[in-house]
Amino acid sequence: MRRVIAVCAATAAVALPLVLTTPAAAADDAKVTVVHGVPGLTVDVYGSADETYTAEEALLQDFEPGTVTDPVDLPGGTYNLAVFPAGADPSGDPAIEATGVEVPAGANLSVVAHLNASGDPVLAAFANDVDPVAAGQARLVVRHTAAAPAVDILAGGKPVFSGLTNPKEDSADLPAGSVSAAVALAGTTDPVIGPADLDLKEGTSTIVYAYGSAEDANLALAVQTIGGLHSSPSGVPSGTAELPADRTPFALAGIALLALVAAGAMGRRAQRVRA
Amino acid sequence: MEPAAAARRWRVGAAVSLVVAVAAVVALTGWFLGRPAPTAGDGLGALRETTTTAAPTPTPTPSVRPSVSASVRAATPEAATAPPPARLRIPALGVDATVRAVGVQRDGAMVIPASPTSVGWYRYGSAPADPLGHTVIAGHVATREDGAGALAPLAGAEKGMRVEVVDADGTTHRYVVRGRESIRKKALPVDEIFAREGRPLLVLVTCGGEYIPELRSHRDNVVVTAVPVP
Repeated sequence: MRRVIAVCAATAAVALPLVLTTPAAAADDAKVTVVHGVPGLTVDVYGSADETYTAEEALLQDFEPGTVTDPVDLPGGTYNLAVFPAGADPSGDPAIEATGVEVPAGANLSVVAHLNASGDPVLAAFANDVDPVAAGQARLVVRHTAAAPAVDILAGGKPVFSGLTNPKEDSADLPAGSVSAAVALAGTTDPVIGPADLDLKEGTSTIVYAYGSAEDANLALAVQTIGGLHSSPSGVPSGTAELPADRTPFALAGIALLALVAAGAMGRRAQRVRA
Repeated sequence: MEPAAAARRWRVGAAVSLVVAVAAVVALTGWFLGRPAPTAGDGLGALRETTTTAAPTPTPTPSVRPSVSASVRAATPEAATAPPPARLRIPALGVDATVRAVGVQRDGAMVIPASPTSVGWYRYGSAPADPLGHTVIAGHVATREDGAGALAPLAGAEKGMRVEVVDADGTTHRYVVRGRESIRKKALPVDEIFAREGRPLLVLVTCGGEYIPELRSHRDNVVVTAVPVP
């Protein structure tokens, strides 16, 4: 597990050219993140309006398993997507193809190349929940995209999501912080992936993909994060008692009154004495 | 004693008493006039300005559309985090408080440290060293247990007063007060106060206004904005 994460990190700095014939980003563009969850296959990804793919339609090149792209703005529409082994001629038969992928305007999608439950590579689109989370919370989404039976997701050794099957997802809003996450076959607590530490940052969504194949013993996790989902605290309750009152004005008024009474009394006394 | 001398002494006494009375009235007038106004400086102008003005966003590398570049990121992207603030000082008001990093209560409101010498920094928002967003520090005006709180003097904040925030790593960030305002708690513009975008701003919050014993709460929040001094 540690090794897999290290491999993912090693490819982190690689910036890949993403060439798309699209107009400048518009406000209602969809945000699309591409996730590679097929082990052992470095690929090129193509996107096209028709069913033939040309070199100009390459979205991603040399895309490594276990990695995730930054979100890309795409105009809403219907796309055909194809995955070829890296460097392969795109006019041939793709390794994976998904036709008629709907990308609604303004949506936030993750397009995931992964293995289905029986181990065949597929391309699937997941809609990402970008509703704000409450102040102090973080969202954890888990997607089963591995050739593996139903699994439970454990956090700190306890199941948080149970009986998740490929290609389903489950999610929960949790207090922000670090959790130790692991994947176990449904009904067991013996990890088949992990445990791995996940830093659930406040106001973000952390999307964890369990990918790979149980049969080939290469199950692993890929992580996508979506930021900017934070909410403000509801208020600032900064006082549980009244500030002790300032007694200065009462003291001053008292002094003035006493002095006036004294002055009156002494004035009358002065007149009486003289008389 | 001669009646004339006695009369003189009583007259002097009366005069002195009168002078004391007048002095007390003058002092009282001075106290009334010297009370802080409900608003100081431009109130919440600074707050609105920083949230409504477009932030100086880093211009993306000039790239000819339609060519965009997507980077592939690691399983867990590392983000540099700014050091948390550790101390808040407002010399003109005698405020010198320990700053603790705080989150939210179960009801969603910001946590306020109970100690009368501590204030809370909203740790999910921006820190003084962050290039964008508001640093929010709040403290009690008073608590049932300890009386006056760390930010009780905030009601006297005036435009131009200096504020210092010292980070945990020892860096001092200097600010100058732009304004102070009392706002009904129900109308507190939380999204503007806790903004994580926009130009850096220090927002200090405490309570004020009428105290409602049944709610164990004040009617208002006192909000002070301070801008960084370059």
